[in-house]
Amino acid sequence: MTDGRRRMTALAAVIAFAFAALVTRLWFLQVLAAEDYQERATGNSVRLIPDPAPRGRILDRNGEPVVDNRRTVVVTIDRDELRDEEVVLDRLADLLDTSTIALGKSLHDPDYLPYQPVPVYEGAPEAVAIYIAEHARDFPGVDFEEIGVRRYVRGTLAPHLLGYLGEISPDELLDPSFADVRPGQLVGRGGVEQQYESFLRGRDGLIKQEVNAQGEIQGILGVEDPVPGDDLVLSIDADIQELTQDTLEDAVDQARVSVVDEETGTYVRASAGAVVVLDPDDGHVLAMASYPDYDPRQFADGLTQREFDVLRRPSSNFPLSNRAIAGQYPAGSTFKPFVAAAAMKAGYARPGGFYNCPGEFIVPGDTSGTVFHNWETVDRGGISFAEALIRSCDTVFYNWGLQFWTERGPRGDLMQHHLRRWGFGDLSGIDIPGEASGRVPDARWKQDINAAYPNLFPEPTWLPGDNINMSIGQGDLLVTPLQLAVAYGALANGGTLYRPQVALRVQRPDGTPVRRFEGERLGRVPLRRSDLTAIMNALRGVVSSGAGTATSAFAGFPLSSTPVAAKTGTAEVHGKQSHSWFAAVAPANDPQFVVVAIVEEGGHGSQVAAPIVRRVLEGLLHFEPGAFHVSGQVTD
Amino acid sequence: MDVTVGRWANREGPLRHIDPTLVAVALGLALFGLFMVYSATQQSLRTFGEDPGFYLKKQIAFLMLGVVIMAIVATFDYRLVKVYAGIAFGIMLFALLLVLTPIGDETAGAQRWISLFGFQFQPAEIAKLTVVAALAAYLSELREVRLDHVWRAAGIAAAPIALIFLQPDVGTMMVFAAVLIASLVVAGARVRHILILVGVAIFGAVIAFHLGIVKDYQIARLQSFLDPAADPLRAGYNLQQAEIAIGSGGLFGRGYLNGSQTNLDFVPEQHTDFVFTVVGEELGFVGAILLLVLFAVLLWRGFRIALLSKDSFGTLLATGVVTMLAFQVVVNVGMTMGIMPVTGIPLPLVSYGGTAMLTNWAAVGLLLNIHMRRFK
Repeated sequence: MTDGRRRMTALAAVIAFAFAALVTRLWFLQVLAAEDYQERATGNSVRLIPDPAPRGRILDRNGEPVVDNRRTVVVTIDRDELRDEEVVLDRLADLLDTSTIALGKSLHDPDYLPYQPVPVYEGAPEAVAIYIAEHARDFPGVDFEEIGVRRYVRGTLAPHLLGYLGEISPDELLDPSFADVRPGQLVGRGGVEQQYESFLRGRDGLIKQEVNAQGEIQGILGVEDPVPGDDLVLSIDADIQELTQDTLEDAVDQARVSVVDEETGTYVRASAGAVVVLDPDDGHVLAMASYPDYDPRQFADGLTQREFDVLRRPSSNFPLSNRAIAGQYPAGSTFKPFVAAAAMKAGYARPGGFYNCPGEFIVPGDTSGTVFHNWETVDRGGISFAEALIRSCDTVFYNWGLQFWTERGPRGDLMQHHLRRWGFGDLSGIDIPGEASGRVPDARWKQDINAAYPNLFPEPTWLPGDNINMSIGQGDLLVTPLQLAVAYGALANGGTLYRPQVALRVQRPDGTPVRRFEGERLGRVPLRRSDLTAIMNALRGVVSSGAGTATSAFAGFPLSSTPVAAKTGTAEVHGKQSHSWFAAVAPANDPQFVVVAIVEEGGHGSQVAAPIVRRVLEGLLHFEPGAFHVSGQVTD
Repeated sequence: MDVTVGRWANREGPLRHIDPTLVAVALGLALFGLFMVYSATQQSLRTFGEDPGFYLKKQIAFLMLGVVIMAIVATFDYRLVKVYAGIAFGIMLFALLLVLTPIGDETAGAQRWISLFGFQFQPAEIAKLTVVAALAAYLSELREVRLDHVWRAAGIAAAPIALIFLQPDVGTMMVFAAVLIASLVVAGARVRHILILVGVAIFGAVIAFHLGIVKDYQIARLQSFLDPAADPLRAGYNLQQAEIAIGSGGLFGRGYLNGSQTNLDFVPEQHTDFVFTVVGEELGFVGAILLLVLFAVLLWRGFRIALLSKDSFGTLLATGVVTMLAFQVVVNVGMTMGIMPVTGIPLPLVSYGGTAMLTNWAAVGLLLNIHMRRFK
């Protein structure tokens, strides 16, 4: 072979080698990786347009819509397609009557990935959408979509109970129960919106389009219709709820300018409050108010960071918190019926008994000089079991508390055991998130808290004074307004503890029932029916007898036809003004409603909380309401 | 004077030594191309309400003209090419200069076209063949290829490379470089000298990069070749879509006129530089291999002709043509599959484009010519 031939062969070999490389690559692409590329080719040409399912409505017990949906137009911008950003944003700002800066800020929200269209304006008029569509050339990358937004038919009605919608979080996206939710979609936050998310959220439909490289639609490959979410019917009565909220707010407003705090001599702060209305026969919630509250429409319109900060800063007094289920307070004297029940169970008290009601109480044998005072200084002498509750005589209860301590067994104190049977110190299990458990302190708790915070809690031993304080709903005892309402419900219905329930049923948009939520029994309280009756009868005297702590607050109320069993409470908190409590059952002879109210730093129970409850009862019982005013007589 | 007539003379006559395989394969490739060009363009032409056969018809016209040109080129003795190579080279340089003047048309940031008598053509395409001829003419005159000859040969290629660099058209520059090296190898230049040349060229390229002479889009394309996923919507987009098209074809393809990547316009430049993606998507591995086999046969005939040639000019000319075709096939097909950088190189005889079609048929004509006159 000549040199030239050899060189030619070498050249041919190089080319043959290159061809071999091509074939190898071709084999990889078309044989080994074909499936992957086929998938990508399909992904390229098939565009899935979600067709959002309308979220279920929320109705009150009478079927009146409280939350439904409205359609709104959202303007979006695809940053990849956007040209001449400033010019386009200027044009857009003009059309939407907003500022270029605001649009620019939304556009560069770092939460959106580069290829995601960014929503820059919500609630654009239909005409603007049409204009943009017709002048697409002037608005490169600008598009709009119609989305459903929550509409709060009754305005600020029950915001805590309803909850609101928020964008799904990255953590939730990993949760299998959110498997069909896409990033950026809204899900329930708080209240029934969160609790009943799986019912309220429908299943989004899908439109399969064939598109070309320019994104132009070539045809429709398939349509999957959206399945709307189910409606949720609440046990709430919208009118009663509104009355409850308004009354609470009125009471707070009035208290701030008319009720004087005894210790400071200034008007009470009345900084916050809560009201719970329950049906004692099944635990359904008829109304639930927490003050201060917020406007859920803020969330629907897209909350700005500033608005959110305002809602969260301490000076706003935490309007997002639902105090009816999450507020924990000493129960004060509203706790006494349950302490009396415990004393009956233990045999210290009986309906026909008489008990000493001196002005002060000293633990026998105690030489430290600790004196426990009654709320009034008069020595009432021996009073009946009923009178002890009607007068709210502290010293009678001190004595029972001490007896529990004296006769405590190796497993601790029976008082706490009996009280817990009423649901105190544990979650009630209400069907909205965020509930607090309250606290029924005992020797074990005191030891633990001392070990954890020796400076704040220097005393590790459960002393007689701890029981004595707890016997009047003070000390380290904490209850939520809801827990108190549930316990009064058990008192009213003959001893059954119900799980409080906000939802009545779930139904299809056409009304077909999907699921019904019956009242769930949690247990029975440990007391004979006759003993319960004795307590109920005593509580009727609280609003009717001359010695009753709330008699003046119920002056003019038709008690003869509609008796009311109630209890006032004035909870003392170190470093704060007293909380005003009131709990009532009506009608006492045929209990239909339990109403519990608290106004934080609102003075005495009879002054602020009692008028609130009275007003709500008037609404519930369809009575002609009297003039509403707080500041009655000063009692415990 | 010795006048030969009769059987013996006829047996050595050019017309009796046409290479039918070469012509058949070239025609086969061109017909293959017609189908592919139609598939690549019909859908989008339809969408715009135009005649779906618009590009096909033009390509058929180019093909017919190309066959005529092949016949003409084959008619005259190829040794005349050696005589006129210098003049052709000069005209070619002038045409390349014209491209850079306002007479030239600009598309996509590059000036590659000039219009003459109502026709648009790309001088760079013609330049490929002219350079092949000029190098063959020069190198065939040398008895021994010394280093200074290597420089001179490089100088011949360098002039059009420089002008094409200004357009810019990196692909064509690379074709010239490949032809230069192949011609030097076959002409007998020392391997050491060729390596020196390559080293100097690489050094020059690095300098060009650093001085910023290379345009941004070329750097971007090179980068996207190295990492196609980095920037899916811009430089790497062509490449990704091309790979998806070919890959989704699988073993047997998605059927002629049935490729979604093709019909929905996902591959840019699909009837020209990326025509191979139509083959890949619609005819699959089997169709792509068939196309490569046709090219292999064409190149094999070319090599065979280079070896059969009775003079070194013919050998060098045929080698240059084969290299020119082979290099374009490998780079073009390779770039659609992501193993070669994306440069504007069409697939010979298959891609849509008039000037390239005519040039390639002229090249086939040259091969045919050498084959026909291998005895005389």
